[in-house]
Amino acid sequence: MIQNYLKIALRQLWRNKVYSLLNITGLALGLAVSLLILLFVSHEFSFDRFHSKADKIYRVWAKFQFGQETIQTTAMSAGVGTQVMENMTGIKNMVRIANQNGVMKSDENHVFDENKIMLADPSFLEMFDFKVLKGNPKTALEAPMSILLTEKTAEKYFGTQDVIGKILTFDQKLTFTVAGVVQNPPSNSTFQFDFLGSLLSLTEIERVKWKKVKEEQLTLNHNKVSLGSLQTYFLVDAEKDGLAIPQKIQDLVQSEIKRSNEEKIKAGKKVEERANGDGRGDEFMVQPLTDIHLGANGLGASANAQYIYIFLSIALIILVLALINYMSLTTARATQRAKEVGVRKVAGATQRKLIFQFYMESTLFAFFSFALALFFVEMLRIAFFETLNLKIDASFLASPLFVSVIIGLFIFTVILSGSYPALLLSKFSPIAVLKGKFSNRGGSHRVRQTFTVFQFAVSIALIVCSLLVQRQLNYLRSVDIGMEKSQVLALNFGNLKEKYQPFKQEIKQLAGVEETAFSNFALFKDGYNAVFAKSPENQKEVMLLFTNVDESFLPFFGLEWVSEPLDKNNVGNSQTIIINESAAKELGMSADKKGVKLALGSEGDEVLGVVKDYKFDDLHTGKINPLVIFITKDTLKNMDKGGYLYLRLHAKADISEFIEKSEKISRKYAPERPFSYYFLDEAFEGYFKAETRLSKMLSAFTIFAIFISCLGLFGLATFTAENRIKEIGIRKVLGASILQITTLLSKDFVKLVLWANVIGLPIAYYLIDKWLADFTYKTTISWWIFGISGISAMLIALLTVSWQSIKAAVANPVKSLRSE
Amino acid sequence: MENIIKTKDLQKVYTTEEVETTALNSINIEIKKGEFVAIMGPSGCGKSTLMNIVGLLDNPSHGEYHFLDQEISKYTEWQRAKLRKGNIGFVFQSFNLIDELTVFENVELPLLYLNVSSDERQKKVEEVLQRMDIMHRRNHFPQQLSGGQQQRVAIARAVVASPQLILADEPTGNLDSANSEEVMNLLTQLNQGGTTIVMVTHSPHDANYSHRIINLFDGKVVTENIKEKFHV
Repeated sequence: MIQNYLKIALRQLWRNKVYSLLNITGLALGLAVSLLILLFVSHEFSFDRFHSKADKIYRVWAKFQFGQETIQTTAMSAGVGTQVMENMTGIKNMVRIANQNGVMKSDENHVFDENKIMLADPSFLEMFDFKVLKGNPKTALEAPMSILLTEKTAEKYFGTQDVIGKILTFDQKLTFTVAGVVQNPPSNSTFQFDFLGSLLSLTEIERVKWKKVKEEQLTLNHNKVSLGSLQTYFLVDAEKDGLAIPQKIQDLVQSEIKRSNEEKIKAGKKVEERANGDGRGDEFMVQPLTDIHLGANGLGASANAQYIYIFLSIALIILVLALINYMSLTTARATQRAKEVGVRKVAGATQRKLIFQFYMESTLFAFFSFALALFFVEMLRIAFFETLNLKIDASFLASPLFVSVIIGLFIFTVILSGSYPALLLSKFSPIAVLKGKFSNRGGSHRVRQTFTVFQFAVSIALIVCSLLVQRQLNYLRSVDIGMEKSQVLALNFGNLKEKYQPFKQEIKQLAGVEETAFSNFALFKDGYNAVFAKSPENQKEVMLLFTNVDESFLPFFGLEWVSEPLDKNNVGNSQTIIINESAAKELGMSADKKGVKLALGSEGDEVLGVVKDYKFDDLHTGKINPLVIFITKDTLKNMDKGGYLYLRLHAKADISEFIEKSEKISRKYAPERPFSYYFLDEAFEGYFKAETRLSKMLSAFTIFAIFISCLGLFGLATFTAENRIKEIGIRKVLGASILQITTLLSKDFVKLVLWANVIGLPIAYYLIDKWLADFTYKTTISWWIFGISGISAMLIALLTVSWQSIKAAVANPVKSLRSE
Repeated sequence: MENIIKTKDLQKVYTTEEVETTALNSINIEIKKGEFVAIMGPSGCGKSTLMNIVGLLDNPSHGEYHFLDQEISKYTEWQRAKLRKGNIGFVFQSFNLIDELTVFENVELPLLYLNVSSDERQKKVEEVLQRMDIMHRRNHFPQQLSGGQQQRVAIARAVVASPQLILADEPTGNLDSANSEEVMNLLTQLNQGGTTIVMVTHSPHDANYSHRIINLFDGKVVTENIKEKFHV
């Protein structure tokens, strides 16, 4: 029997080639788009789950209050790991991790700036499933300055050579010994490292970097339980043990305070009233490893869960659109299949058997569509990843998770696509169909109309949303942030000492350079350091971000004074600072007041002037953070760690030539340092990565949705024209013109698209309004965007149906009437 | 003589929003096993409605219907489908062959629903195709056949499961006289082999092949003409 069903399904498919092509391609496209999105989404959800102990690993994080700011951090002191491990049952293991960056060198030709150097306790390789391919995983992270390279890094520095025992110079002063090779971290790992070194190396690094460091200041010697600088993970026996960690930390902190107070009393010192160890009301918490990537608790926002759910809903909608197409086209063809149903019924088929038959047919269609969809996915995958700036390992495609997603989607497709046609077709009354009295304009026609309205409503909503998201993105790009950021290139340089001035002069003389400025920070890229200060005006504790710049920084970026210094010659003197308007406001200072001193360091710094607020970080928060600007005349003083030389280039400057020449100059002054630079407007763009991604995805989805809806509409128009062939013939015989017939046939579809507008436009308004609510800088929702979207959907629909309508209208009525 | 069909006060009323149409009104008929009965009457008199009820494709609104001594007027679609299977064969005016299936596959269909084994199916289908003289066209599709040939395939399909009753709804309505003759001869042969045949027709010529003619008018039986004595 199954053979018979398959045979008839295949013959049906072959006999109605256009219909089959429309149906299979439409479904395949929908499936391909859904699969691509599901690939991305399942990859996001799979983060860190590949570790066999993933569900038993917790990371510690904490919140503390500074003034009115609540600050969150995952940086713990070295003691958090060791003390909890020692004093608590149920903890099986712990690991502390420090991240480093610096210049690595294997030989003259292999010098690179590296920012993915991770230092960890030896237990790292026991707790997490990173396979050591060469070397001994048990000892590799034991000795100080011992390091594992990822496969990629090993190849980058040493090619195919055996790397064990090789030496890597770090920041010119230290050497790491390579202990082996570890697998490249998969794309769905939160830990993304190129180097994995022993945590003990941190002490060596700190000794060299900080020069005269006291032993107790070393990170690893900080055995108190408090905040610090190491990420700390625990492996526990059971979930309850993980959840008990915060309380244990709190207890440890309290007992430490008690002990320290007792010691102070013994020594006759005054005991301060403190909430806990640091006096900031620290509150410790844990986060399961598997929650880290999607940033539960607002931490580790490396991906935005909200966007993932948006994409997931879009995938579902696209899939439903494609399935609706399938159902709509299949049931529209019911007239042709009705006779078969009738014959099968009189030959003894029960409804159940017919349902089975049509499900089988859907399975076959779904199978072909799936095969085609997988082909589309393979074709589009690379472009899709590149456009959206995604990094997903090719091996993830064969992972059990993604394979189950594919299987799940296939089953979902079969069940949903087969359901309506199977139920509808199997219900046909054999009497009606076999006597030719069957009409396909009843309830099922209305269902198909509903389908079309739904498809177009989705398309219209998507058109509106993608236009408005694009508009918002353009708005964000062009919003006046209070600083002149165009045509600026930032050159990174290291510690040049006395060579800084000649270096700067040489760069300045290159063709195309208009002006220069210095800052120790990479604008729009780096995070800012913060200092805490008590306002002498309103006694409030305020968190202030700070940056070091040279005198040309303010004019270079066109920053304006709100309150100018009394004597501009004082700007740049030591113990003087400039603040922004927000800082002045937070500190309760009137802009005109001069001579206020802030205790930022050991001594007070005098506020010389106030600059107008400019947006120096993420635009998502409307708030401009209070900022302290240290301006130095002698820029040498602030150049211990190097910084960024900002260059405004002439609009007509030859950028590639400029980069080539400045690289030569950089190499001349700092041969040990890799050359690096970035464009300021590109870095600024980086803040809108999520919006850019959303905009690109939405545009692509909108095109897909319109295409799929049009396929459906085209199919529906074809069958409507076929169903009404007799009516058209009679009307023509009675004198109807081609225009009248075309209008008659198109009118119904116009009505449907009008309904779709009525439904789609308010939904689009609601969604976009909600999305925009999160932005401080937002575009206006203009009514004309809705108008354009509605009208274009109408035109697209008309264009789609007109072909069939005109074809039906110009046909010779004699033919249609004779065939009746 | 044992009845294959017996109706008592059979009534069929179609109700729409505006009108109520009585298609059949108090029909009392008995058809014995092995009989060849023709049902005649003008268009709209209820012939097809009666055929649909007799053929277990539809339920009556009122009255009783006994098929093979079972009262089935209240049967569900599923029960009717089960009873129909293997017991009743249908022949239609418009042949109603499935275009996507070959002659062999069309004829094989009722056996598939009866779960007959593949070997058995092959044997039975070939046998009936030989009998209908259409064996040489076994791998053709319906569109490749003449009207007469298509109707022979339809008859082959109707008889392949050896049903006790064949219902033929204007079987010659779409055929020329030579093909009509052929089809009527086939039906006669089947009847002579013991199959009960109930045929709706407009043609007095075709009705002459039957033992008995039931005339319907406005949903009622008006006359019954026994043309010849019917013996088993």
